[in-house]
Order: sequence, then C-alpha cells, then structure tokens
Amino acid sequence: MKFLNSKIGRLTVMSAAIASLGIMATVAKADRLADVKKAGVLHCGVVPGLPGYGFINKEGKMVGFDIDLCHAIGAAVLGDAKKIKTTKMSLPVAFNAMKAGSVDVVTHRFTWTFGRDVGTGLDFTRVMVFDGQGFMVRKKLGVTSGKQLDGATFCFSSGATTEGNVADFAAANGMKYKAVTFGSMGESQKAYNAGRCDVFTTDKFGLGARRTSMTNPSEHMILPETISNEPISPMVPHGDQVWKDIVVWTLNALIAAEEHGITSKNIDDMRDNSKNPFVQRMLGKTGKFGNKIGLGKDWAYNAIKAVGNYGEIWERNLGKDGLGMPRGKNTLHTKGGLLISPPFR
Amino acid sequence: MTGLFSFWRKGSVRSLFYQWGLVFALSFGIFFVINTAKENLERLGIKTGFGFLSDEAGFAISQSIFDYSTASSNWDAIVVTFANTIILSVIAGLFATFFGFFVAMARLSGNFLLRKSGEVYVEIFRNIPLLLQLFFWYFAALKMLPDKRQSVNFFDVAYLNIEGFMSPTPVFEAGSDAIFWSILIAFLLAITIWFWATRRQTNTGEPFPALTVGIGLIFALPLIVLWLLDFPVTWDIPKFGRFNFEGGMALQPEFVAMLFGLTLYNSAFIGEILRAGILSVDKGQREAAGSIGLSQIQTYRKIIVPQAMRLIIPPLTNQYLNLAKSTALAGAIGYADLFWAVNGAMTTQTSQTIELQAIILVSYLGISFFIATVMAIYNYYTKIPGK
Amino acid sequence: MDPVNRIFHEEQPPPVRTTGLLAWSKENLFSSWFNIVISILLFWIIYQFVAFVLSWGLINAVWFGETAQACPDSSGACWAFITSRWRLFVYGLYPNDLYWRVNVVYVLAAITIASFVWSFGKSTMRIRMTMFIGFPIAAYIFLIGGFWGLKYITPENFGGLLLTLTIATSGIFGSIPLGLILMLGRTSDLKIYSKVCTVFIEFWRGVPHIVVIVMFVALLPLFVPGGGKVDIVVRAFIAFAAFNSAYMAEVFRGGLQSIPKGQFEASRAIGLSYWKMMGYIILPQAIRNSIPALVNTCISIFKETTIVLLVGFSDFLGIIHLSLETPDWLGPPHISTSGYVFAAMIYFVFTFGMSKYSKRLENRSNVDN
Repeated sequence: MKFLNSKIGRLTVMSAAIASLGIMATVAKADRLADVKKAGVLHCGVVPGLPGYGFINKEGKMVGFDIDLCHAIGAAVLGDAKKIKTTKMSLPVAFNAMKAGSVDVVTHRFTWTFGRDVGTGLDFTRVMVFDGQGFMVRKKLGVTSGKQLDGATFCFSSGATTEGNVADFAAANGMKYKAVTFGSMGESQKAYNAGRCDVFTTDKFGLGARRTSMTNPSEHMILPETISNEPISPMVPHGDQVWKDIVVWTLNALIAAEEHGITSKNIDDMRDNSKNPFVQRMLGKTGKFGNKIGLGKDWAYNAIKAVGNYGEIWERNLGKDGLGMPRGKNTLHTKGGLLISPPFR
Repeated sequence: MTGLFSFWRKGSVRSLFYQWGLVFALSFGIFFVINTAKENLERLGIKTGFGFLSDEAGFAISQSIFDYSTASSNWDAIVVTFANTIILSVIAGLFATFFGFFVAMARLSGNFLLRKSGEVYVEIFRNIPLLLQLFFWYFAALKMLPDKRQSVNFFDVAYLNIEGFMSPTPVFEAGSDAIFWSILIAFLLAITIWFWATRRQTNTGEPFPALTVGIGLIFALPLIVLWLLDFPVTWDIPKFGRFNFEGGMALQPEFVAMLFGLTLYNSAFIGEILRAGILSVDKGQREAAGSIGLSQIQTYRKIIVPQAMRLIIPPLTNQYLNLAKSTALAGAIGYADLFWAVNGAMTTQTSQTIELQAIILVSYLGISFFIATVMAIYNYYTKIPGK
Repeated sequence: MDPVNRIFHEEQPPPVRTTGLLAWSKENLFSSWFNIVISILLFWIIYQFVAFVLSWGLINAVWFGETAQACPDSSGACWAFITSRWRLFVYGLYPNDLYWRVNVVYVLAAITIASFVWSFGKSTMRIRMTMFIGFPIAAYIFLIGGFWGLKYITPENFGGLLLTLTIATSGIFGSIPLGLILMLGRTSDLKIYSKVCTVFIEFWRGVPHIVVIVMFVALLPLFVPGGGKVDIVVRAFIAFAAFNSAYMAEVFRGGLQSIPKGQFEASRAIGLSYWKMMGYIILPQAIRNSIPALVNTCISIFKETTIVLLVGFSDFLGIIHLSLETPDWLGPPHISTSGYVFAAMIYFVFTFGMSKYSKRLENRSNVDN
C-alpha cells in the first residue's frame, strides 16, 4: 500500500503500457534495402583477428578481404564505400546476430554448408573464396600425411566447420584423436605455437598465413591433404529476396569486372569507351540493370571504383601486397580457376 | 473527485489497482516478446523444438567423465559439458576456500612481512580482471610445461608434460561394487558419529575427536573391504604412443589453468570475507576463552569460528555464486564447459538459438539456486540460537 | 629513603625498548621461531621477485620497435608492442583526426573523479551531483555527436580503453537509478511488486554475465522489433546496466536494512507519506551507508567489462588481444605476456584506485558513527 501511493505510481503503470504499445507500433515488414537506404549506412558483421580477411591495422582501421567486400556492397547500395559500419563480433555471435537481423550482411568467411543454409534463417549468397581445410604440424614429428595422425592432439577454434571436418576425416580413416577447442583462432594458434597440440588445423589459406607468423616458421609444415571443400560465402538473412539479389550481383560484378579487364583505375575509361555490351550494361551505360534491383544505374561502377575488381581485392589483402598467398583455384574460369560470374544480360 | 471517485481515496483500492496494472503490463510485455519472436522465426523459416537434442553432435570434447564421441548426441554433449562445469566449480570452490583461509591467516598474522604480503596478494588478485588472469595463467602454464618428449616421469606410472598430467586410472573388476557401498557406509557412519559426539558434548561436556575418527573411517573401511576382496582393481597406466601418452587419465592444462585462475582470484575475496568474519568476533570472547583454559586452536574452533560464521555465510554464498558463474569464461582458454559447447559449436550447427539460450539459462540458474539453497540450509543449522 | 624519592634519585636500568627499528623488527618479524623462518623465507621471495621484475621489466626490456622481430629475446619484456600501438589501445578505432573529442572526455572524466575525491566545502554535494548527471551527457555529446557541428561517430568505432571506460561508465551510471527502483520495489509492501522485483533481481544474479551479453548483443532484434536499429555496442551498454542493476539493488537494500526501525516509525509519526519519508529521511541515509559497497560493485563492473572481448568487441583487453594476433606481432610468447602484464597494470591502476577510495569512505563513515 505504501508503494506507489502517488502520481509516480500511476505514471509507472501508464508508461509501461505506453512503452509496450509504442514497441508494438514499430512492427514492420522486413525491407532491408529501404532500411539501409534510410539509415544511410550498411551494417556488416565481421569477425576480427584474421589477418588478410579482417583485422585491425596499426592505424586503427579494420582492413582485409571481408572488409573490402563490405565496402563494395556499401558503394553499390549507397553510392559511397565509406558509408559502412563494421560490427566486430565473435563467430557464434555473428551467426546469431545475422539470424536475428542485427546486421545487413555478414562478409566474414563462413563456409557454405547444408546445415547452415537450410532452416537456419540464413542465406548464402555466392562463393567468394574456394578453400579447403588442411593440417599444419611440426616437421620434427616426421609426419607426411594426415592419415598418420592417429592419436594426435588437434587445436582448432570453436563454431567453425573445422571441428566437423576433423571428426569426419577421423571416422573415415578409423583414427582416434584428441581435440582442444578454443573460442578464437588466435588462441588456438597460440596454443599450437606453445606446443599444446600436434596439429593446427583450419582452412589452407589461413594456415599459410599463420605459418609465417609462428615463432620459427621453418619448423612447421602443411600436410598435402585437403580434407574438405570450404566454399566461403557472405551471408544475408533469410526471407528478403531483393536484398539477396543485390548482394549476389554486386559480388558477381566484382568477378565479371576482372574477366572484362575493368579495374578501379581504368573504369572511367571503360565505361565511356568500351564497346563490350556486357561492360556497358554492367556499368550502367546502357540498359536499366541498376533500377531493376532497386539501385542507381552506377551501382556496379561505384562498387568497382571503390575497391577494384576481384583480382585487385585479392592482391591487396591476400596476394602479393598482403599475405603473399597464391590464388590457387580462386582464379577466373578462363585461367583454369573456379571463378565465374553469371553473365550480365 | 467526490462521489463517484471517492473509492479512489481508499489506499487498498489503489494498491490493488496498481498491482493488477503491473500484472497486466507484465503479461502483455511477455506475450508481446514471445509473439515477436514467433513472427521472426516464421519469417526466417526456423522451426522450434527440442528435437535437435537427439541429433549427432559432431564435435569433440577434450574432457569428459562420461562416454562421449563425436557420434554422440547433442544432449550427451550438454550433459558432459555441464558435468565439466560442475566439476570445475566444485573443485575450484574447495581450493579457493582452503587457500582463502590461509590468506585470512596471513592477513591476521603478527608477522609484519606476512601480513603485508597477504595484503599485496589480495589487492593484486582481487583487482585484476579474471579473464585477463585466465589468459595469463594459461599461456604461462603452457610456457612452463615440458615438451611431450621430455615429460617429467613419476615412477613410470604418471607423467607431466604440455598436454597435462597423465596418471593411472583404476579399472574396476567384478565385485568392486562393494567398494562404493563401503565408501557410502563409511560416510553415513562418520556423519552419525559426528551427530552423536555433538550431542554428547552438549550434554556432558566431554569432547570426542569426531573429525579424525570420521576421516579415518572413510579411508579405512574401503581399504579393509578392498583387502577382503583381494583387490579387484587393476590400473590403466599411461603409455607413450605415437604422439603422446595414451590410456590412464589426463589432467589437462586448460583445466589446471582454470582451476589456478579461479582459485587465486576467489581466494583473495574469500580471504577478506573470512578475515572480516573473524575480526567481527568481540575481543572479550577470545579473552574469556583464554581465561577458562581453552587453547588457541580450541578457541578458534569452538568460540571464534562458530560466531564468525554468521557473518561469513552470506558473502561467502555470493562468492560461490560468482565463482560458479565465472566458469562460463572457460571456453576462452579451451576448457570444455557448458557455455563453450552451447555457444560455440551448437549455435553454428543447429538453428535452435532460442532453445539453446533457454538450456543455458536454466542450467546456470539451477546451479545458482542449488548453491543458495545449500548455503541457506547450512546457515540455518549453524546460526546461534536466539540470534 | 622513601620509595618515591628512591625512584627519582637512584639509577634505574633503562626500560625495554618499545620503539625504534630493532624493537619493532623483534616484535613484528622475529617474535618466535616460526616467525623467524617465515620472515626469512618471505625476504628471500620478495628479493627474488623484485630482482626478476627489474631485470625482466626494465633492464632486459625492449622499448621500441615495429614488429615482433624487435623482441627476439624472452629474458625481457617487449614494451615495443605497447609503444608502437598505444594509440590503438587508448583510442580504438576512433577517427584519427577526431582524437581531441576523446581527449576532452578523458579530461572531463578526470575532473568528475576529482570532484568525488576532494571535497569543496559547502558546495561539494552540488558539484558532485552536477558532475554525476552532467558527465554522461557531455560524454555522449562529444563521443557520439551528430549535432552542433560535431560529426556523428558510431559507437562501433569505440575501442580500447575508450570502449572499456564507456561500457563501465554506462554500466555504473545506468545501474544506479535502476537499482534504486528495483530496491524500492523489492522492499515494497505491495506483494506483487515485491515478488516481481525479487524474481528480476535473482534472475540476473543467477546467470553468468557473458550469457546476458550474448543474448543482448546477438538476439535482441529477435525479441524486440526495432531492436536491430540499436547499435550493437549500445546493446552491450544496456546489458551491463541491466544485470548490474540487480547487484546495485542488493547493495542499496543492504544500506536500507542498516537503518534503525525508529527512523521509519518517527517519519510516519510526523505524517510523512511513503515517498516523502523515503526521499527525505530514509534514502539519503541508506545511500550514504551503502556507498562503500557501491564502489565495490563499481570495481567489479569495471573488471567485468573484459568479457565483451568474448563476443568479439575490442575493449582494452580485447584490442591488445587482437593486436597480438596480427602478423606484425604474432611471435614468441613473451610478447603476449608483456601485453597481458601491461593490461593488468592499467586495470590495476583503476580498480586499486577505486578500492582505496572505498576504503577511505568506509573509514570516514566509521568516524561519523
């Protein structure tokens, strides 16, 4: 009786009711393109701490392959590559945040699997990196093949496809193994570096990058086996086809640009002078492709202008200006690789 | 406001109105949240339900007291990691209390250096974030432990290296059930003796060394049974395989680092709690105990500690709760606890986010509730009559 | 000679020394065999420890360098890691050309702290209240901006010490009023309010904080429409305020219980309503009594901020952690040890300061009583 015998009491009750009604009024159908345009900023989920893909450089900026994809999509949608917000999350949180709709797109390197695509509230867009899981061991163990690792201890990070791949590989080869699973890739690498595990396993591009940063890189070797396919693709929330189309075709444009020789430097020249109808349509000189997916006619031009074509993004982050890794399967189909963009027709 | 609204002046009416208002607002809020979640899940095409618990887990767990393999179900994974959480909490709680007792003794010591060291210890470990301490200890431990091929050998039965401490495990053969029963009986006997001794002392004043006898019983009885049954136990001794020792059981560095970190961190708090409790007992009590001829140890056991307990129990309960909750940080250094399993592997492999969150919340609330209840019962039996 | 004169005229042996270094050390260090052993042992340990700290942290340490190659030797600390990246640790991802805004907030924070440490005579209370309410507003204006010509900076760009301090501050400043409300609810005579608040408090106190953070950060939009529009870092702020309000409520309840019953009865007797009684008589005393415990809760909030690194935020510990994983600095383990030791020192400066402050308040209130 003592409590709330006053105006404040009534106010509490009333404000609670009003707040509930207020929240109710904001229920709206998901239209992510409109939301992003209204907010004026593209919200990307990234997982920091992976050199080459997404990490904080010395100047305090997020850089890497994943971040460049985010810039490209931001440029396509909003016309300005700087209008992005990179939300840094741990891997399971990124997964949940995507489902819950906290971010517009996750450009972190998530492997496209059946279990993640079907019934999880997520959609994968298109494969941007073809990778595969490998093993790193110390040379002094004298191991030459992954099949000799029966009884070994593996270090890897939790929540990735890594755990399942090792389990499958062990089951297929009748091997037993011990696992130490860490919350992040950094910890598992540090533990391996300290000698906690016999084997450090993750995607091969990641392994290559991380071998160079061991205390003594020459002590370690990467085994020849590739135990899995890791097609890596940005994700969007399930159930918004328009938004998914935008992301898919922006990524396609980056690859098509490389195929047609468009770079961030010659793009103006190409737009004005190229006779190739594919290029003309893609860069918005002819046709209305931009309008058809709800964007301006410069969408692909803006994306490529901002970050360059696929090859440029690769070289800047993973290739010769970054981690120095070979492109492997990640070259154009014309050069024997797996990258192919559906035609802009 | 007269006439029609005069009932409003009555306090009881208003209070009823406010209370029902709250009930209404709350149920509306809850309904609303659930409804939103339902709509969102529908939009995303996620099906709810606990069916995923029987699916194959597909990830390995580094420490399990039950049989577990990657082919086990998600439910098994939850049980195993929940057990890991409990094991860590209980052992760390015991260690922290034990160590905290020494910290309190040091802080109360007449020796200046010891007292100051105790103070420095408390200030350092209490004031640095636990997560930072865990990282530090884990990587410090890995740095100090020897390589697998230079293991420290303990009599050819146990070994210490960077993968942890490998020791033999007993393998129980037929007839070994009797050992477990004998341990149980010894425990019951010890408790009975303790009750009897307390009663006798209250009635006649004659003391009885119940603790010593009890501990003796718990060790002696199973040993006698073992001897009578001609030792139906063999040992699984670790042997060096291709990469490391196999067989036996391993105390892993992740577990040890967690234990170390939690013990040091919490013992600083527990030490302060115990110290405050002991200081709260009136000086006259100590002097009176001395004057009736009780020794220093007797004074502590019979006079100071029972009174101090009254003040110690509530903050100690809080500390145990904090300890149990902070085991959720274990995943950061690779110890396979409940939160690690659910928030790591399961979250990305299943779509049942909400169900997983519910499992986590219920588990930890259960642990907290259990600790609070046990401590409340203990408090009830140790409180001073009439106070 | 009579006894009195004898004392004055005959020479007596000097009394046993009770002061001076010798007597002091005899009493405090070497009073028994046990103490002698302990003292010698501790002397040795302290000597070893200090010698190690000096050689590792100062003499053999490497102070400058740009990559892990600068610190090949594990016998000394690698402070080069800190000196080459300190900007990142202090300002996080805040735009370089706007560091001045962060600096303004740091200075304001220092002034706020100072206003709580020193007293200014009569106006002390007024100054403190102004700072308590004004500081969060000023911090918001300068750090986030978006009006008055200040460019909008998303909290996503907060990082390092800035993020740690903003999370701690919002946790502290948010949980105090919420905690007061919860405490009033829990101690209320209205059964339902009391039950609801009790359940709320015990719920937050019963679950690990990292679970709450994950729920708020990742899953908020699933339950609350429009939750997706709330910045993800801001959600962490809300989470911190939410679960810490439960702890604050218990702190205030402790303060309330310390107030003698007579105070309630007397205020009722002179005809004060519930709110007047609480506002003028009970709460001022209850809050004053609970301040030492409140500062202790603030310390634990500050320490707890580190767990946001587990959801991928780059708070002070998180950004050191991330920096240790960049190709430049991934290397021998003593670099990460240096990073952790440095982090520990910074956290210690803050928490130890706060705990000294709470000690001082405790002593002062003991004198008052």
